[in-house]
This record gives sequence, C-alpha cells and structure tokens, in this order.
Amino acid sequence: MKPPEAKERRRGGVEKHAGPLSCAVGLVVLIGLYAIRQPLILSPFGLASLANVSVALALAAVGQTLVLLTAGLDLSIGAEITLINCFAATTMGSSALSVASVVVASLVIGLALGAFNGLVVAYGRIEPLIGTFCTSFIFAGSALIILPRPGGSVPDGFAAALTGNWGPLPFSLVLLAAAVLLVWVPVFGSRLGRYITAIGDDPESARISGLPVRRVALASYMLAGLFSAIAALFLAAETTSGDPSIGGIYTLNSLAAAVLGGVSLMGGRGTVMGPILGSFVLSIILNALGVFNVSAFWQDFIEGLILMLVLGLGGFRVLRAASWLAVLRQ
Amino acid sequence: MGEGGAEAAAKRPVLAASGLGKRFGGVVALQGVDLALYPGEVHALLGANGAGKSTLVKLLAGIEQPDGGEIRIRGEPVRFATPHAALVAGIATVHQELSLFPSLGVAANILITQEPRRGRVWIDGRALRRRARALLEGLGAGDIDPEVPVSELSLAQSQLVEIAKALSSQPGVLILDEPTSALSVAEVERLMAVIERLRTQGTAIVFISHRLGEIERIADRVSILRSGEKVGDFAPGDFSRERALALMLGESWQEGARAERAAPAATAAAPVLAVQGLTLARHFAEVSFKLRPGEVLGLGGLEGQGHKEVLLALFGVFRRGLDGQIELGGARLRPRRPRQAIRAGMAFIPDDRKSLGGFLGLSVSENIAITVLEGLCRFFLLSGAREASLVGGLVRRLGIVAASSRVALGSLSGGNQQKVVVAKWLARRAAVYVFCDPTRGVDAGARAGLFGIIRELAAAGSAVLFYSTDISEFPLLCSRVLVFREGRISGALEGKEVSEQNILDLSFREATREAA
Amino acid sequence: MSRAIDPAVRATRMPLAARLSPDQRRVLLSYLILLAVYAGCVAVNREFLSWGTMRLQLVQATFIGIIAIGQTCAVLIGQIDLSVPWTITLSAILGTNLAALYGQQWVAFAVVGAIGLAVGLVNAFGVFALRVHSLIWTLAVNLLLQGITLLYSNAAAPTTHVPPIARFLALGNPAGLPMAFLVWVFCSALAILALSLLPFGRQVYAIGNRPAAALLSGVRLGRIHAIVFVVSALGAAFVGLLLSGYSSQAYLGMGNEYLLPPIAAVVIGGTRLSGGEGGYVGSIAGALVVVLLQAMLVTLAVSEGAREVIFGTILLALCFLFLRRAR
Repeated sequence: MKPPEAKERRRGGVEKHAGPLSCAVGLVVLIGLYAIRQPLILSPFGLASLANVSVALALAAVGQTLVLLTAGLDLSIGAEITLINCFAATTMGSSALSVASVVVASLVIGLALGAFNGLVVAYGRIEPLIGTFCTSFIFAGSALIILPRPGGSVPDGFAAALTGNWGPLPFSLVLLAAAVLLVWVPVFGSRLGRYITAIGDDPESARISGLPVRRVALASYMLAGLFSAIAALFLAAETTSGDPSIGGIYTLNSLAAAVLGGVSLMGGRGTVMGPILGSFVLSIILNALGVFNVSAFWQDFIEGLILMLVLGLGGFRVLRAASWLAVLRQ
Repeated sequence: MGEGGAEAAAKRPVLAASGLGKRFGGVVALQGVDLALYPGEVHALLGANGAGKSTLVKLLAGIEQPDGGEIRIRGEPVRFATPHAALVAGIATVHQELSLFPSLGVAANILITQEPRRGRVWIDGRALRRRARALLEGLGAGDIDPEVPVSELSLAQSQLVEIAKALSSQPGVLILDEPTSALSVAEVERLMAVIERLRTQGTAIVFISHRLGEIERIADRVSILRSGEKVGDFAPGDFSRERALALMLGESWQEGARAERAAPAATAAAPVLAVQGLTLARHFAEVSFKLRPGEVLGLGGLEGQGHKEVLLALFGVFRRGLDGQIELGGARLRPRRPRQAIRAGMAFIPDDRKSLGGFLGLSVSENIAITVLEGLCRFFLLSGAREASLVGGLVRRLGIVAASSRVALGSLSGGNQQKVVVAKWLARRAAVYVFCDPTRGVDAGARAGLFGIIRELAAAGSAVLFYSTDISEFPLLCSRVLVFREGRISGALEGKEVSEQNILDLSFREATREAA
Repeated sequence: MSRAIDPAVRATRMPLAARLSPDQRRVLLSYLILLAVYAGCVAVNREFLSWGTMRLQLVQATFIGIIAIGQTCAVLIGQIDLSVPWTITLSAILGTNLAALYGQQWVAFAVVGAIGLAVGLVNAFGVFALRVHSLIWTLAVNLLLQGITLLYSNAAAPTTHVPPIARFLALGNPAGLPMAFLVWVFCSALAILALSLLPFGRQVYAIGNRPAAALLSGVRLGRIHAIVFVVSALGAAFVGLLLSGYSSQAYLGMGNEYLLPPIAAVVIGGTRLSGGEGGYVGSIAGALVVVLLQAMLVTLAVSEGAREVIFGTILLALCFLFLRRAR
C-alpha cells in the first residue's frame, strides 16, 4: 500500500501548484510571443504598461480569492471598485493632505462595503451568490448618485506615483507586491488565514471545532473590500478620473482569473500567486490582440475560447480519474 | 472490566449531568437523562440507533443546547453556547462524522484553534509540527506525516488524527463516538491501549460503540439508552451482555435473536454471476469466483484488502482499467457505468446511506421509485397510482416505519433509511444483490431485520454478494466466504468452515509469517 | 418512531402552514411576497391597478419567466447558466438576419433551435464531462458567444426587418390577452408537467439532492445535464426572438438585462441554490416580483442611481425576510 500512497502525495503537491505553474508558463510564453512581434515591450516602459493593464484585475482577483477560499463568492467586487473609484475621483482635491485623507477614507470605505457583504452573507445567512448580487446594486447605484457620468479628477502626482516606473520596475507592481505583503502575508501567517481556508474546506467541521465561522467569513469579505479599494484607487490613478461603469468587468474577470490560477470555487483550495498570474495572463492576452493586428472584434471570442480551453484542460485531469465516485467528488 | 473503577467511584464526578432533555420540533430526542463521569473511568453508552446517544453527545459537546436539565463540571453548573465553550471547559469530542479539514495538513488539523504562536499573532510552524508529532506518537501513529493534507490519509488514519485533535487540549473529559467503526482489528487494539493509558492518567472517557465485545473489555460503567431515555446502568464489575441487550432493544430483542440463525445452504443451480481473472491495478488482481442463485457469498478480510473495490468494480463504478471477464445471467458484462450493471440485473446497497445510498431530501416514495421510473409511466407520464401501489407494497413488506411515504427520507431513523435503500432495489427485482457493508452504524435490531431481508432474497432465488467490516456477521449469513488479502483471494471457506476464527486466520496467516 | 397517523385526523387539527410540506410552504411564501410587492406597487402608483399597465408587466415577466424555466432546472441540479445574455443576443441577431436573408420566417425558429441545441450541449459538456464549475464555464461560453455575435454583426449589419411571427408572439393581442403571456402560460404548463410528472423531473431532483446516489441508482447524469442546459439555452434563444419582435429590432447587448433577474426570480420562487429543492411554480411568482419591482422603480421620479439602490435594498430585504439559510 505504501508506494502508491507516496506517489499520490507527490501528485497532490503538484496539483496544488498546477494552477499558478501553468499560468506562469503561459505568462512567459505570452510575453515571449509579444516580444517577437513588438520588442519594445521588454523596455522598462513596455513592462510598466503591461503591468499597469494587469494590476487592477490582479488586486480584484486576490480579493475574490479570499472570499472563494471560504467557499463564498463576491459578485459585488466590480460595484465596490466603481463606488470607491467615483468617491476618490470626486473628492481627492490636489493638496497632499486631502489626497492622503481620501486614500485612507477609500480604504476604510472598502472595508465597510466588505463588512456590509459579510453581514449579509454570514450574519444574515443569505446565499453569497444572491446576497452579493443584491449589494452590488446598492453599491453601483450609490456610485451613480455620486457621479452620474464619467468625470472628476485626481492630481497628476497621485497618478504618477502609482503608474510610473523606476527603471525596469513599474510602480504598479510595487503597489501589488505591497498589498500582498501588507495584507495577504500577515493574514496567512496568523490564525485568520488558516481559518479562512478551514471554513471553506469543511464548514460543518469548522463549527464543531469551535472556529468563529461567522467572524472569519466577515473578515474575508472585508479583506476583499480592502483589495477592491486598492484596485479602485489604482484605476483612478490610471485613468486620472472617475467612471461609474469602470468596475463592471472586474466582478466576473476576477472570478475567471482566480479559477485560471487554480483557486477552487468550492472553497479551501487556492494560493495567492495563482490569481495574480491568472490576471496577468488574461489581461495580457486581451492587450496583445492589437499588437498582432487582430481586430478588436475578436477580443471577446478569443478570451472566451482561451478560458474554455484552460478550464477544459483542467477538466481532463478529472477525466483521467478511474472511479465515477472520485469524479463526482470534484 | 477495568480495575481502576472501584477506587475511582469514591471520587467526585468530573462531569455530572442531570435531567437532560432535548426536543427537535415535536420529536423528543432525549428526556431526563442523568450521567456522571468520574476521572479515570471509561463510561460506555449503549443504545440502538435513534436511542439518543448522538443527541447526548451533542449536548455535552455544546453543539446543541439542552431544553431541560443541567450539566455540572466539578460541581459548577455550566451552559455551553458553542462547541468552543465545551472545549474550553475541558470536554473534547471525537465525532462519528469526522470533523477534519481535508485540504489542511495533519498538524494544522490537530491543533486548529490552539495553534502555538509567536508574538501572540504569528503561527509558529515548527512548534506546530513538533506538538502534532508528539500527540500522534502518543497514539502510536508516529508514521503519519504532520505535513500531509488529511485528504490523503486513509479513513483509519483520519480517525487517529481526529483523536489526536481531541487530545490536544488535554481534556478532562474525552467523548469517543463510535471511534472503532472504521478501524481494522489491529487499529482497534492500538486504540484500546491508548484508552487504557488515558484512563490511568485520570481522563474521564465516554465510549460509544455497537460492539459489545469492546465494551466488555474497556468500560468501567455502562449506561443504556432507549428512545431518548436512560433505561439502565451497570456499576463497575456487574455488566451482563444478556441484560444489556434486553434493556437496549426492549421487545424487539426477541425477534432479533430469532432471526440471527445459521446461514442457508447453497443450491446447486447454474451460476448467475461468473467472474474470471478480474484485475484492477492497485486494488485487486486475478479475482475469480462463481455465484449461484439462492447463495449468499461473503467477501471477507481485513479492511482495505481490495474486496470492497471488487464489488464497486462489478457495479461499474470504475470507468477504466478493469481486466478480466464478468458473465451475468449468461451474457458478457463490461460495466463502465453503474447503469450498465443495473440493466444487467445487479443491485447495490452501499455503506454510506447519507451520500451514496439515499436521497435524504426526497420523499420515501421518490427514493424507492427512482430505479424503476420508466416502468411506472403511463403514456410517458408517471402514474401516481402505480407508484403508490409499488411503494406501499414494499413499505409493508420491509416494515418501514414512516409517518407516510411522502415524508423526507432524512426524517426517518437510520435503520429505516437503510430499509428504504434496500426497497429501492427490491422494486427492480435484481438477479444479483450486492450488499457493501450495509450494517455500518446500524443497531442490532435493524441489523437483524436487514439479515432477514437478505435471507429472504436468497430463499426467493436471488444471489447475494455480501461484504462487511464486522467479521462476526459472515457466519450468520454466508454459505461461502472468500477471504481477501492484499487484493487477492487468499482462501475460500464453505459451510461449517465459515467462522470468525477461520476468516481471521486466512486474513492474518501470511501477514504474521512476514512479520516473523 | 412516529406511527402512521390518519391524514384526515391530522388535517383538522393542524394549522394550514404545518399541513403543507416544506416545498409547498416555500411556494406559498413566494406568492405572498408577490402579493406584498403588488400591494407596494399599488401604494406607490395607482397605475398598477389598470389592466394596461399590468399587461405590459405580464409581457416583461414573460421574458424573464421563460428564461427562468431553464434556470430553475439548472439550479435544481445544483448548477447555474450564465450564458443566457449572449445566447439571447446571438439568437436575435442571427435569427432576424437569416430570416430576412432567406425571406422565410421559419428560418428564425431554426436558428433558435440550432443555437439552443449547440449552446446547451457545449454548456453540458463543460459542466458534466469536464467537471468545470458551471458558474465559470457558462460564463466563458457567454464570452465566446459575445465574441461570435460581435464578429457576425461586424460582417453583416443587423437588420431591422423582424419576422412578423416574432412581432406577433411578442406584441400580438388575441382575445384581449397579450400573446406573449399566452406563450408563457403554455411554456409554464409544460415545465411544471415535466418537473412533476416525467421521469426527467424525478431524476433532476435526485441529481440535485445527491449526485453520487443518483449515479448508483442508474440515473443518466450526462443525459439529464444535457437536457437541462439545452432547455435553458433554447429558452434564452427563444426569448431572443421574442425580444427582437418586441422592440422591432435586434441589437448588440439586448440580452444583458437578462442575466441576473431570472436568477433572482428562481431564488425568490423558493428554489434553493444548492439544488434539489424547489420548482417552477414558485419561479413564476418570482418573475412577476422582479418585473413589478423594476416597474415600480421606473415610475418613481428618482435618478437611475437611486433606483438601483432601492431595487437592491428591496431585493435584499426580501431575501433577508424569507430566504435565509438554515443554520
């Protein structure tokens, strides 16, 4: 019995990292192909522009992942981004003090919106799919009230601080790394991260083992809100304005990026690198179409096809399983 | 009976519950139960399924709150609002349905909510592994790697991890809810040694098991529950098997005793199922046997020897990799899907009623009709009259107790749920019935009923394949037993040879020679 | 445990709510919600008492209700279909264009059938054979359909020539009743019949309840998944045709409003998102609730943003009052 078990263990280890690894390989291949066509992409400016188109999605996907790990789902991420983006663009002003206070206020609002989701789902006991769907209307509607049509502005200094580059190092990547280092790493170095994984893994066990299930779920939605706020601030810097429809695409794309990166929608399984790499792959594919003289009309078709292929490849792993019962357990 | 019992009796109880009661809706699950647990004693709870053992455990573990009565710990009255409160008060529980997290590592599971920390915040990974390893070694399970995710452990290993998790808080009271149901003979031995040691360390232990042999061996005190009430208890030294069974089962004991008699003899008809050289990599190899109508053939052996997989493979659960020949009713069968096996005349009663056997959320009637939907149709529409007559007949024939056939399966007792799972296959009149550990977690009364059904099936000319983790069941039921070891048939027993001793002998013979 | 009780004795003693099964109670609840929302609408605006206004709502509810048939089935087997919006748009644009091109009305129906079959089978293949979570797989399919629609409409400009039959089905008014509503009644009857009286329905509930037990009972999981997703895609494609008739044109993004309202209708109708419990009878009330809420908000003289906030809040309040999960 021992040899097959050892083999399975190794396979289990590889499987955990299969999502991030395949995304990393995909990313290298993509950038390589891109560079053959457009060598300038490897210049500091080119890399910064690639990073800039990807970072907002990466932040949203990391936030989504925190919720997915608890076997939850956040369909309000796009609306959160929109609301905070509109808030920041209409209130930021130009003095250093007002910029700083609006940044802090945005992060607090992110936490508050997440807390509202958490209260609805964890304490109100409403299914995450429908609960966050409802709150997304409230958030998106509030954004429209603040800013009915695109407008507002952010100071150039703020924009440059987030979207510029320092030699080959884009500031946007620094922002992403900082967000991961200051939020994700401490969370998963402490008990909170372990509990986030645990309650998604087996909610009933979590209850019996005495984990604070509702508080942990609340915290995961709050953290997702925090990541949305960072993404919203970054988008404000990138577009130097606010837009009441800017967040729309991030809800579903954050889900797609997380799944590409190997995060399980059933909870309990996922890494931080997976969704980040998944976001880069997704964003760069879309960005690269122009470079390859592919008409913009192909964009959705190609994105959909790639998503289906990648998801399908993941599925073939399941098709290999010998037992029907193992297949159904997936 | 343990020896520490007499002196411990003089001590004060570490936990004393009095008049505990609990209702779920209109159903009384527990009523006026008293219980006193003394340090250094093993207190066994005995009772049929639905007698209230699980409810009592849930009240003590803080999962449910009692409607009446009180719990005192060392004389102080307590109320557990959450499972965590019970843990803090020193009551740790090993639940029947394991409460582990499959994707987390063994060490993380064992010390969940008690992670050693540095600076009050950061989890100290090294200390975590060290403490987990020490706890596992204390259980004689030092071979389990603390880093491996629990999803990669066997059921028995998970059970040990669960016990280590319960012990991690150094509880004054340890509740073991059917800890042995998934363990092999050797593993049960190991667990018994652990319980002995905990007893000498002064832990009060609640031990729940359906196996009377284990209780005779390890328990100091025994309390008997029936229909939510405590109907009797035994002080240290005066346990009696006969009286315990009589208390436990009430009037149904008489019927049960009568039903459990010797196995029927095999007929000499042509085989209905012939298996030749059946092989599935990593599970079993070169399995050949013939099954005749009216015969109950047992597949015996220690757990994990591939015999359960043989049954699953015959029923088409494995999609590929199956070699060898299967002939069912004279026709070749290559089952790759359960549906193919079903159409060829096979029926399968699995061990896990909750996730494999029945649909707990569907009604009794819907559960039974699911295998014969097409046959119940009139002009493509399901006929309520046909369904009612089929279901009504089967409910009467098997004596299923339910308020009506419209109630959800989940609202029935465990034994009745199992009967419904059997009824669903009787509706199809299969040629070969496969019983895959059907008595797991089923009480003695329901077991007797199930055995009666199996004998009836055989008498009516059906062939039965029977597998159980409880070796004592084979002599009661089987006219022939194939004993499996490491995926191969290590021997066959027939007629009078079928005995617990002989099955164990064949299961262990080679293993002991290797060890020597 | 409990001995069989004579049902007649029981019925006289127990209050109404206790006599109903949990399923029936949920359906009753969804109709009570409908009544409450309708009362709210009337309180806000007397217009809702007029047949003219309600006729418009019934037509709107038809679109959501027909989509909700497939969505109810999908949710009952524990899945969800998010490929609805661009199935609608593709079917509307392709159907009207090809019908105009060949000058034959039936071509539009052939397009509906072909798209329904193709999209449904692709969805079922990914969800069942490849075991990809339906939430994400059908989303990818939706994206692919969006791409196909864009590519097609780029190559061939959408026509405003809508087949008359589509206009009749969406806007016709035989015997004073809106034709669309009659279509919905017919489809609803079929759906309720299929879920309660066909073996298909039983198998749907079995899969949603316990997939593994369904497999071991001989339920054809693959076939049921295929039927469910084809029904859902067919419904969406058909609604595409109706919508093109309703607005006398087919345009890009016309299906975007129809992703989440039908799901909200299913949930308000008492079908549990985890599968195995519920049915289409409740979804009918759910579709009407969603449409009435939207209509009531339009009549309020408030900004679009405020309307969204109110819609979300009311929906949330309904969920909070009636749809909380058991602990």
